[in-house]
Amino acid sequence: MMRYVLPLLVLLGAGAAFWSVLSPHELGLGAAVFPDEVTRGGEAVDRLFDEIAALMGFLLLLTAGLIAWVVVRGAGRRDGLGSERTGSAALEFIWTALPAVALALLLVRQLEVRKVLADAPSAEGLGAPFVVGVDAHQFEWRFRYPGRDGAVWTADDVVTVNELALPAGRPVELVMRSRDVIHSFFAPALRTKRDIVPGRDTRLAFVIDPEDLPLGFTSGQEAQLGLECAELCGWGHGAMVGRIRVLGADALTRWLTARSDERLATD
Amino acid sequence: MTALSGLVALGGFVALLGAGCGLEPVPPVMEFTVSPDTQFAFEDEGLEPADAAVAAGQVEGALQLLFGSPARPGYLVLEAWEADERDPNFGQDELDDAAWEAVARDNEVRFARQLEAVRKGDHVQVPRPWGAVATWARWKWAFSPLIEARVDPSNLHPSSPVPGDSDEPSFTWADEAERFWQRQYPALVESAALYQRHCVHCHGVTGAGDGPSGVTLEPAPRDFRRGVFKWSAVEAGHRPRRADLLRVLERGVEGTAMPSFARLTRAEREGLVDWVRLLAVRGETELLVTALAAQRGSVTPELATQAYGRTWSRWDEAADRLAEVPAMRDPDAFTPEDVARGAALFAGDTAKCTTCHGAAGHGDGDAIWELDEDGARTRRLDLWGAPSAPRDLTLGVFHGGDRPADLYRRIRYGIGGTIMPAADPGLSEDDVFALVAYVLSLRGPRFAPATGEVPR
Repeated sequence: MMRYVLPLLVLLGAGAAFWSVLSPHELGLGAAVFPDEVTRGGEAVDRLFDEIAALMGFLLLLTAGLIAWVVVRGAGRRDGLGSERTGSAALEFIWTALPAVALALLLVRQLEVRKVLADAPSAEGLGAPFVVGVDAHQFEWRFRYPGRDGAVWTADDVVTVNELALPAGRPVELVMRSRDVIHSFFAPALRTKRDIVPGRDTRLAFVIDPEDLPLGFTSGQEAQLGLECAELCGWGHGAMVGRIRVLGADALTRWLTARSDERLATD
Repeated sequence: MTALSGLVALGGFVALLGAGCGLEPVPPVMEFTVSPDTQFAFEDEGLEPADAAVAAGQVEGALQLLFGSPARPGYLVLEAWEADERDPNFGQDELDDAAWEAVARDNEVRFARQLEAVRKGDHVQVPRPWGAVATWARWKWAFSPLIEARVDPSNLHPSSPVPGDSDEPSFTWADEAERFWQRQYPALVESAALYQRHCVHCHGVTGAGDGPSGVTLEPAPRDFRRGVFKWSAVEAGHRPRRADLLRVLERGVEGTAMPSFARLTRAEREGLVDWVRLLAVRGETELLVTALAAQRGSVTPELATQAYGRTWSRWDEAADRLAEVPAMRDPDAFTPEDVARGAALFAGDTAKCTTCHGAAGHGDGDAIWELDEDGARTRRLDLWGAPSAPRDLTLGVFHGGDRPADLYRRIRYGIGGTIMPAADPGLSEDDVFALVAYVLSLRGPRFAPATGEVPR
């Protein structure tokens, strides 16, 4: 029976792996479980997700199948006793080498994807970064836009609460600080998550791809993306939810001017 | 056999997992109670504890008549209101056009799928909105002819005027269906449920600030029952406007545990304002009824209605009690001379800021202390019984907001319920501006400035 089980499992796993790597991006597992990605290099993250899922699926099927096979076969023995074997150098080698190769593959692929994401904001012709300060604290996000001095984290910043407006097609750089405990900036549609450790600046840069945004964006509408804290930060962690509004260049300027004018409002 | 029992165990485990997913926690039903202080107030007036308990029970009954319960809330509509068709049970009646626009904007996002179906003329196929049980019931009830396709969507709604008969715009069923989703506004009972989900764990069922997580907080959550809210644009100690409560919900109170609720839709936030106001009016009425009844010896429905009317009149005068501020100056345009003049005023004898805020603005002045009966030094208390803690101005965290207008209001009009008084009338508008400039300058280099690093 072993003769059929093992090749079948290997075939299944390999099939899943091939499907995930060769299938169009939209049909992959990553694209199915996350909201549509809207960032430059986001496809690479989904692809990596698919590859890891395929690899793990293969290992899961293999090990679970082998366990099931052993259970079923063992149950057939009338005497209730198993057979005993002592060490096998070949087996030892296989179950050390297989995971080692798998992990090495993952490491290489992850470094590749990391580079794709890291390089995206500094690509030619994208212009100067749009800098926003992220002030994370229990239990809300405060976003600080540069005032007249052009720098964030100064007294003349324009501050919004739980609402982050960003441009598309231009590098965005977040300078994140935490006031109290570790928080984590997680925007699933941006395929990015970064821990914010108190006491240090955490920088995160990305480019939102206008072509990835839902139709209608170019006509001046906005796209809304979710934003949450992905590090359990206290009793209000679940409430630490914000929203990202992706606006066209004009709309963003209008929005920023309005937020800036609010500081002088008397109501 | 082993394989079989293994399969059975596995099946049981999967079934358990499935059951766990289906178990939705049913929130306990909120019930209004009277404050323990109500009974103490009767005891203070010389009633035996048993009689005081009866009187407190009568107060509870009266409040039940005036406000209902969280499960069935409803204000008593006063006769005086009937002429102008006023009914505080419908907070949406108080929204202006700009507010309705904001409500519609948020509802466009929240009910996008429903609106899409309605606009396509797919009234039968309108999907059930997630979580909005009462909304769904309203939709099924009010639009059943449309849903069951017994009417043509382009037909006039029966409640709208016949075209040509008057100048009023006439609405078709299709228009009405679109408006239904755009103008969705929570009823009081829905807002109570939302309050139970987001607010009750700090602010408590009756709004006393005694929720289980609230008791550990410093500063304590607001006790609504006094009707005094610190962060408002009315003169200190007066009842807030809707806009004030809404602003706190939207911005949170920086430096405290009150977070921003901007992630709720505008309609939901307005609904929470309705509910907070109900709790505040109820708490104030309770205090007033108790005070009146303790003097007269009995609680009557007339007395309760009288206290209710008086409480409402306090809320109604908020519009006349606006804390006016002049046109604001750009905080970036404050000059060193402004700051220097503000510093002199801060330490001077007219403004007397240093008496509480301390010479360096750390909030450590001498005037926050008083001597108790035993001659021990204790902090002066605020309206809610908490020890006074004047703001440390060097931190740059201002609970009521750091806009110049916010600081101007705090200085000119004081902070209701606290030892922060209104400014001496001897201070001119320019003087207060100079103080604002000085206070803003005190926050100093709190942060290290940062600019972009991504190369072009």
